[in-house]
Amino acid sequence: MSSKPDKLIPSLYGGLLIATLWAVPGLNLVNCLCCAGVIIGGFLSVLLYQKDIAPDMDQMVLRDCLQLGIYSGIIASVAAVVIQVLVSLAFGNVAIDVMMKLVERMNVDLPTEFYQLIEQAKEEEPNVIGSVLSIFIYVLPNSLFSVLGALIGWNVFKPKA
Amino acid sequence: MLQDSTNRNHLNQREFIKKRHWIVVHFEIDCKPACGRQARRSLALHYNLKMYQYQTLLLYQLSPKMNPMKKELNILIAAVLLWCGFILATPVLASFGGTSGDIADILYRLYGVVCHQFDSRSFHMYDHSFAVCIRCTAIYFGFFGSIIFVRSGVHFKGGRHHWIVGAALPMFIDALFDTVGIFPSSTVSRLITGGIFGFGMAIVLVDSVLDAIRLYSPGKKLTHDISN
Repeated sequence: MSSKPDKLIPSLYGGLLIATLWAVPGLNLVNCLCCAGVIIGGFLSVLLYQKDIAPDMDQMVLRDCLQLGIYSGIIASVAAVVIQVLVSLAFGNVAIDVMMKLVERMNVDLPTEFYQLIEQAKEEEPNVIGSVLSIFIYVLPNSLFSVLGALIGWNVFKPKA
Repeated sequence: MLQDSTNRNHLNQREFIKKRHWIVVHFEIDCKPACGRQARRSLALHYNLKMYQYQTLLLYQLSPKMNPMKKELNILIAAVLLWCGFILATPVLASFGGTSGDIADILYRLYGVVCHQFDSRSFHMYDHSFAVCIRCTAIYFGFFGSIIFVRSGVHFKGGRHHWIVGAALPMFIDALFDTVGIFPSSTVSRLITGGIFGFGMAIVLVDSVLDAIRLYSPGKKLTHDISN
């Protein structure tokens, strides 16, 4: 049996998916389904890792899934802040306007607070230092829920005896 | 199921006694959702157990009071209780203001990572919303209720895939219909579908989470491949 596949690439994909669903205007509508974005990211990392395992390699074990979940959560926290800062610096209110147009075109029914948050976001100045510090707040819940997603993945893809 | 790739040989009685605890643990972990006679028999065959050993296994399996995962379950219950407790404590802290209000702000931000926290979709206490929305509250308390059932020895039957789909589908449909505008979701529908999701997910995840806790518990070493 040879060694196991690299965990970094699946974690990176999982983490970037979480970050994209969380930070990109329009796509972050998925967050209306609560923690779905984070769980999906953890699940995706396990799915990709499991696909990387060749027949001559060791089988996936629970520890791999836990590591994948934690890595995805950490990567997601950093990537989300980077995306947020980049989007706000590059586009500012343009991104928010694009998202609003998208929402209007989709004709979806969203609560009034959503529009209030959008207005609030328009008025706020981009705060890079505050965003970077918020990584520390994001890491714990992101990693926790990403691990849960990875554990769902483990239950779905775990090798049969 | 069992991943004992390093030691698939016959276990003599001494080894069995030494490893019995772990076999029972894995038996609990891997076979509980579908702990039929066939699963037990395949486990016994896998370890080439003799009939008296097989019966000992059954005895352990059928006695919830002898559940070797009790300590891990207690840790899990404490963690989930803490998570749910902070959801309720956040509005109370926010109502006090001052330093408590600052702590509440941090908790709102922390929970905000995994919840939209829309005010109109949240329960309120002392004029402040819970740390998470109604649906999330139902999910977490459903999860908590489910592990309490497991702790009290209730065994849920059915495959994990069925539980995942069965638990997620009502909530997904409720959220989708609400977003598209086919059928607006209400507090009751969010509570019920969220509760079902949390309850079902706990059934699917509890064994893996317990195994994960055991994996990282100090002084505990798994003898099987699952610890690698």
